[in-house]
Amino acid sequence: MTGPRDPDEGERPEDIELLARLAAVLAPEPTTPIAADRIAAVRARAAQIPAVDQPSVPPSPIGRARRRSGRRELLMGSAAAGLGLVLGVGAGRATAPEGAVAAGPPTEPIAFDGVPTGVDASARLINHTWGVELLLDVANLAPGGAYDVRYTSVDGDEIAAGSFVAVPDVVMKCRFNGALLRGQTAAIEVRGRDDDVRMSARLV
Amino acid sequence: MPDDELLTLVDRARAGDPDAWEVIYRRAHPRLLSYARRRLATDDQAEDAVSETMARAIDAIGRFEWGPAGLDGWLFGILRNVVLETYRRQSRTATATDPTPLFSRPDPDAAQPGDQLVAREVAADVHAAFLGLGAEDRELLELRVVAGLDAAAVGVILGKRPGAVRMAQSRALDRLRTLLGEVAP
Repeated sequence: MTGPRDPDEGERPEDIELLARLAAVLAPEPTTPIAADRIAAVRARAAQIPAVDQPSVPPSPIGRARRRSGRRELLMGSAAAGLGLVLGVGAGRATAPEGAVAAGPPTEPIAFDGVPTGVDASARLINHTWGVELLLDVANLAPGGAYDVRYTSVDGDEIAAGSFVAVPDVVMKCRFNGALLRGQTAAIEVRGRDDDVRMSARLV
Repeated sequence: MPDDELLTLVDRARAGDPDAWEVIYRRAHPRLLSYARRRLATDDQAEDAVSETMARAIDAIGRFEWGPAGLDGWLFGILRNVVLETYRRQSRTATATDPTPLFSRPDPDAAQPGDQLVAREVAADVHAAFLGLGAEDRELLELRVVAGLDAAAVGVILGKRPGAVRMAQSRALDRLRTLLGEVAP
């Protein structure tokens, strides 16, 4: 996937020449566009990968269990493709093993101000090398309402991190990613589609 | 050994970085699609196969290990399974899976004069000869020249030792020369 193939060990010169002719004939069209919805689906699916910051370590049994669970939850929440990842878990049921969180990377709890009455919300951050991931568990938002999550930098720039639609009777386990480093992140806001801030967390 | 840029990209992909996965998708897409288009009946089926490949890759990235096949060979191995599964589904519904119709689609640039026309005729000869090869020969050569994989990587995908891949490649190229009317060495 990195360009023309290199000659392989022991290849005859005439084979190399014929392979080159064949490559010219079979070469893929480099400009074939990818549909935006297919890219969005890949991005949304990627966002559900349990964050693991130790890539060379083989996955633990707990990690594999979490991944299988995540796949099931993705199917449940497939309508969220292209939005921030939203996973619904039946209210009143156990959401995730305590150990599952402990097996992942370190998380930083944050508190939201202005949480609407009756709404339950808890959130944690993962400080990735490439940006900040928000793990938001929220329940009892008005069903059908659409919400945007935005990060604000210390310089006042706003960065969209994703969206979700509230559904009833579940704890929505959402993950959002923003290309803003933790040290540059001043606030995280959850806004309604009217752009009014519903909940906000100050981080500095 | 993959270069540092690729290592970093895969590390980011393992962490669930959507940007990294988009890079991997865009990077792999032309070649994966080219492989799928030659094996499936429609462009939509080929695109679906590539999308399914990416979905499976995302789900399995935690188990990915750097080996002879590398990231590209790993993706092609997944795609190959997706295509085979598509064949099996289609065989139950008697849908055509012969890739030949894809090759016979009209070429929008076909009406070209002079040297370009000659070049196209030569290319068409090579193309026709390639289509005259057996499916195993075609796949091996495609993995070499379209996917850009070396014999070791192709061996991982096809379940052969690198030496066996090289030998099979050499024989496939001899057959291609014969079909082209050229004298095999």
